[in-house]
Amino acid sequence: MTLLVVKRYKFHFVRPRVNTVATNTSTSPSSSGDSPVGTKPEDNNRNSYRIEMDELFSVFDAPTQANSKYTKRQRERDDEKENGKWEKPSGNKLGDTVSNVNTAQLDREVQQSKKQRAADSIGREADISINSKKTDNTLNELRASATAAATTGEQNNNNNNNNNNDDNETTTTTTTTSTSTSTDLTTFSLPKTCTHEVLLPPDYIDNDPDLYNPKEPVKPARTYPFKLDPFQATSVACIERKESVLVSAHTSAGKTVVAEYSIAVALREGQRVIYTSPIKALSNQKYRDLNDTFQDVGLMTGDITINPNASCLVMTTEILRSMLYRGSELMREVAWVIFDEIHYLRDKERGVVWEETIILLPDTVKVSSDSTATLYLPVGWRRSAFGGRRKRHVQRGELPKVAVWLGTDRAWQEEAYAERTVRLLQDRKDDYGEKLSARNCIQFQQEGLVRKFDGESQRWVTGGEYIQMSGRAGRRGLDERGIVIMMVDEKMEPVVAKGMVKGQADRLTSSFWIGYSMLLNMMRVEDIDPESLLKRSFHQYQQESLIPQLNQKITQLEKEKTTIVIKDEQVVQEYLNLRLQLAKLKDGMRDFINQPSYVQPYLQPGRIVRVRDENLDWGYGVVLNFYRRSVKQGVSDQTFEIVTDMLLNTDATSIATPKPCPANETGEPQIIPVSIKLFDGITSVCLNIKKDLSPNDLKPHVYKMLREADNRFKKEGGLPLIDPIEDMRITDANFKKLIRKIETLEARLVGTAGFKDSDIEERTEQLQKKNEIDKEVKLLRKKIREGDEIILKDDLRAMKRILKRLDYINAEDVVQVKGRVASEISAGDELVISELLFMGLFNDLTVEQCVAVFSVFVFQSEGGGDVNNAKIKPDLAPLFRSIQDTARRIVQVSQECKLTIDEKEYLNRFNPHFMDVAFAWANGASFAEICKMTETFEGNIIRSIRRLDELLRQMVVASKSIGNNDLEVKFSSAIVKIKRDIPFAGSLYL
Amino acid sequence: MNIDSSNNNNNSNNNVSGNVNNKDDMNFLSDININIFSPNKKMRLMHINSNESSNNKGEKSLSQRQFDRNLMTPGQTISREGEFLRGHGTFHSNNALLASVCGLVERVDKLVSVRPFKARYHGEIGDIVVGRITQVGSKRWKVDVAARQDYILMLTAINLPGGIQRRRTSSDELQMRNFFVENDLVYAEVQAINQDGSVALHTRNQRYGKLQNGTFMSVPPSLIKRGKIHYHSLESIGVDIILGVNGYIWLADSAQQRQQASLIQQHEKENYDQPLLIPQAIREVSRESRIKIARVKNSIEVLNRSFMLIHPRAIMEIYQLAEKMSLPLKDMLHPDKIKQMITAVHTNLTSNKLNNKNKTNNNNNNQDSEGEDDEDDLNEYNAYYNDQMNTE
Repeated sequence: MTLLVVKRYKFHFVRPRVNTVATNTSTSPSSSGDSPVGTKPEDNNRNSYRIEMDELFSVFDAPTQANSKYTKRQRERDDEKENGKWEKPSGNKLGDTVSNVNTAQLDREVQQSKKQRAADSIGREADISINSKKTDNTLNELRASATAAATTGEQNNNNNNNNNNDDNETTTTTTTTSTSTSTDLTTFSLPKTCTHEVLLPPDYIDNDPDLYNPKEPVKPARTYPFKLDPFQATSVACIERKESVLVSAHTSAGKTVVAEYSIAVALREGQRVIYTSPIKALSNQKYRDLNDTFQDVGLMTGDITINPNASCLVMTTEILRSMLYRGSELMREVAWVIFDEIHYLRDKERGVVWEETIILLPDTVKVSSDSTATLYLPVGWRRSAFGGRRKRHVQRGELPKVAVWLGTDRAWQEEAYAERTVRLLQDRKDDYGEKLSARNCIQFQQEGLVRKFDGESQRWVTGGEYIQMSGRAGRRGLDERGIVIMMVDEKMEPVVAKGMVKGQADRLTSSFWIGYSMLLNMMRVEDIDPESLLKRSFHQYQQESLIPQLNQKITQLEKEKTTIVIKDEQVVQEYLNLRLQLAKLKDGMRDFINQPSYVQPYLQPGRIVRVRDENLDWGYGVVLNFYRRSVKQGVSDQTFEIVTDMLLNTDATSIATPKPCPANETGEPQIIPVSIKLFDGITSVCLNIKKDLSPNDLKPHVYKMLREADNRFKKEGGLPLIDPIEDMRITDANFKKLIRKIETLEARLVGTAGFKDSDIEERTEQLQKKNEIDKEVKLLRKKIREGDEIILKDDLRAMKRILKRLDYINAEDVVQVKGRVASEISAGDELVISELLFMGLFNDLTVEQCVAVFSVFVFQSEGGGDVNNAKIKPDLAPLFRSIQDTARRIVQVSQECKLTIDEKEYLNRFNPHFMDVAFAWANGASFAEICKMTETFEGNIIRSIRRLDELLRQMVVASKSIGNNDLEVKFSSAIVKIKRDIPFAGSLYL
Repeated sequence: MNIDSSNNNNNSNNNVSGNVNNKDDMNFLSDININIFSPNKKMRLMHINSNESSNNKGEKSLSQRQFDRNLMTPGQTISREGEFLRGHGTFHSNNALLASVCGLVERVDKLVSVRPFKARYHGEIGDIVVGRITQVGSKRWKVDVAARQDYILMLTAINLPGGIQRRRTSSDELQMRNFFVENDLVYAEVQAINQDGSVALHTRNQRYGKLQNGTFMSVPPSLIKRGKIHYHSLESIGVDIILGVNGYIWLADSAQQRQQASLIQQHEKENYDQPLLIPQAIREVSRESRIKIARVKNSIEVLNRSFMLIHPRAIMEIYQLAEKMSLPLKDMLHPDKIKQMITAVHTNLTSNKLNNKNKTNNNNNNQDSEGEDDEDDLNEYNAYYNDQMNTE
């Protein structure tokens, strides 16, 4: 969980210093997880964790900086060995930054240059560490190395700033240590310290000595029966100062305390406070929790509104966003907004909501946010994964809570299955089984699945999500230990499992994008400018933060380039050019030859061919078999390629991906499918392979024969190749032309001045290196340019063009009647629906048909099913066709307006599979009946019907705004028809 | 009522056509020739600029013909067949779509609506309005914005002094008259249109709120073009204008308003719980400024009376024209002068259009112009104006 609590200027970032003891990293998912609690992970593991945390937090810092240009910051490093268990990242690890540019590394570099700035500036050292005397040299070394490594970056950064006339002020960073210790030490060594950073706006000078070390409140708004953890105490103190706080702590570390405290403060001051969480169910739960504590609590979700006038409102982030867009008066009374699970920022589909919300919040609102994007699990953890669906002995010990996850997302059935599993565990009458009670132990939800549908595709849950989800098993202080059982019903690569379970926390990356509805909403209000919104987005910030690093990389590459000196460069260049051309032509020839019609006649089992994959020469291989395989490529036309099973000698040491065997090693013969496109010459030799060999005998046997054949022909310069013209009888004129070209080029190559030089090869290689550097520099430059601009500006312009073309806005960007309609619609594709409305599609439709049409926009199936061959009633089919036509028109306009849009993907968003169901539902069918009509899970049906209701409500408003009563009445009666029964029953959790 | 104007070739300023109301200030209409073919009640309006009337005799520009076709009177059939989506200002009868108001037909795809020439203001979300407080109620003010009903400004929808974010308490309710009292002018934005049709306003940020020490005037809402910005500062003359979409206009002296705003801000920061009395020194508006404001106001009034769209450029054009003609303030609204000015503006615009390339030379307005559009506007509204006159 991430908790974000926001105020205008000062931003505190608090996270507990985490003890690694509890993290049991040695358990691999395939083992049953029996390693004892408290095993120390290996040191290097810990190091890398430390760095990952830095990475993570470097991005965490970002939104605040992006939002308000906080540049002065206090940073605290882990500078002492805590109980001898903590190891600092070694200096060279941090210094080693330039080998290749990947984002993670760049982030690390950002971090470094920040640190470096710290060293330059005169900052305040607020060292309150009780252990500060013990501060060892390692830290100094670390700083020194970081300084050295980052100097260049810093300069570049400054240059860059000057060049861009950026309004970035000089950054001041103070590096300090603030460590406090909690008195009690439990078995699992709870976090005893916390890191605390303060971000200030650039021109803000704060001489308040309490800033970095806020005092405990004299009259706390809320007291707790236990002693607060340092991170809690610090956060509480910051909130008492009315400053924003970002708390990043693991699940169940007690971030709720911070949230509760900010609510208490708000209530004390007579202000409103909003608590947002990403999931409706969580909102419901939070509402109940908070209601017990504070009484004056309301709930607003899409389904239900309870006590909306309360001082503390729990809502989903989407609701908060729409309130901000509408400029709801509620926002005038809100002093605090608490974002739970702020790490949703990186969610592909929904992250944008968080970002928009934070950007749109008035300056006077303070934010408090919670994130669990850390790697450490406080409760003693046991992880085990089961293959298949058989449960096994899990773990002995005390197990108050078990989180069970499932392999697929057949939500309802599977939950029942999981429940059974736990029952079975209970039935075992083990010492732990007895302690399981069904109510207590099953903590799962739809998200609790090993594979997840993220809006684009099925994927495995990420490490961060794993931690998040497994956090449900056990609460600190209440449970001693939690168990996670993964029910894996699908093959899972060890790497995947490792990545997931070992808990590489997810990086917070922005997934900011903009929708038409949002754009129109912004445009119809006077002073919200979409472009400035983009400028402030996290995505933009991240892009900008990379620039200094890229610049540094460029200078380095250029330096490297100057070191390469080549004799007679002109000559070598000519030689190289010819060679490259020749290579290209030869590749062309190879492609020409490797066409199925030419190659297929020679694919007898036993045929020896040469195989080359790009620059990877595999040498000879033996064809054993061949078959056709369809190539999924392009939109509709299915092409086939011929794939051969081929015996090749591979590198015995390489396991993951086969590699050719190095020249002087034995290697291991393996059968590998090889596309004929990779053939580099077919020999005229065909081995005679015995048919009755078992697969195990086959490989050595064939390989032996291959070696023999190779040896026999060695003296004659290799195995004889089949001639493309004489043997294959390629008579194509183009082919002959190609060959002639190759011949002339070869002649020219021999004639070049450098050809006879003995060191020509060497020099060519150098030249190639030089050219590669040039290319890379060019690429980096391009990246920088992109980062400079507002990333989405082009898209934004294109979107505006589209809106203008379709008459949603006029030439002066003033929203027109169509735009007003579209801005009301957020539950479905606003453009297509508005177009349909203005086309008059709904005029002659019955209420039920309208429902069926709208169902196309709200139903998301899990990828299955072809939209073109849906089973729909004949009288509904033309309606769907007109939807598709409209969508196609939108695509066409988009393309004309230079907005890249994937036509197929866009069209697939309109899913007709639910039309019949919706039609039946509107006609009064019972829920049981419609469930039978489709294979979709009930949960999906319910979600779709509820979204349908939302969309219809928006349509009522839209038809009112165009002044058409008939449609208004029609849509209203549609709502009446669908709003009944189970889908609209109140939440079970309330 | 029908007008028969036989004289299509009218160059004379003094020639007043027959049936136009005999109000003096409408004399300038003589410039404009109106033809009405009454048999099917279809009015044809034609307007020819005096300076080019002889050339254009009998011809109609495309935009004009379109305009003719789009002009509707209540009960007139817009369309008999075909699919259409009924919009505002229309109704169904006997399979035909009829206009319910007098105005121009607008078509967006299949949506057909009639935009009335004269109607009360109808709010849309995001509109900037100037309103006058009519009532102080419980937790709300009623605001007159020239709409069918008073709009609502909730206590929760205003900024508390100093921009404090907190819940409104009962003491706030008791102090409501410290914020706004009856007859105060407010500058606000339409926040939401409620289910029951009532409209809520809000003051989105500190810029919105009470308007003090300036001049108020009102024009028909249809003369104000919805735009991105409605708060304009005419920098060359130091006058601020707020052109409310509802047709209410606020004029004030820029420098004075700035001072006043900073004073208010200062006050709110320091002692926001006491009511603020703006000292005379700050309330004072210099004589020159007052003259300027009055001249701007009259310029707007000129536009209003000649039924032309009101936007900063048009205002400035009239303003400068009046200065050039060295018209005393009080004479600006003399019907003859209005006529003169409008003619001059027309000429200006036409010459603009003709000599697009060297327009900066022979053009005395200081802003870039989109001559074509404006001419259309002028045509449209002049014609409409006549129409109004006739029907009255």
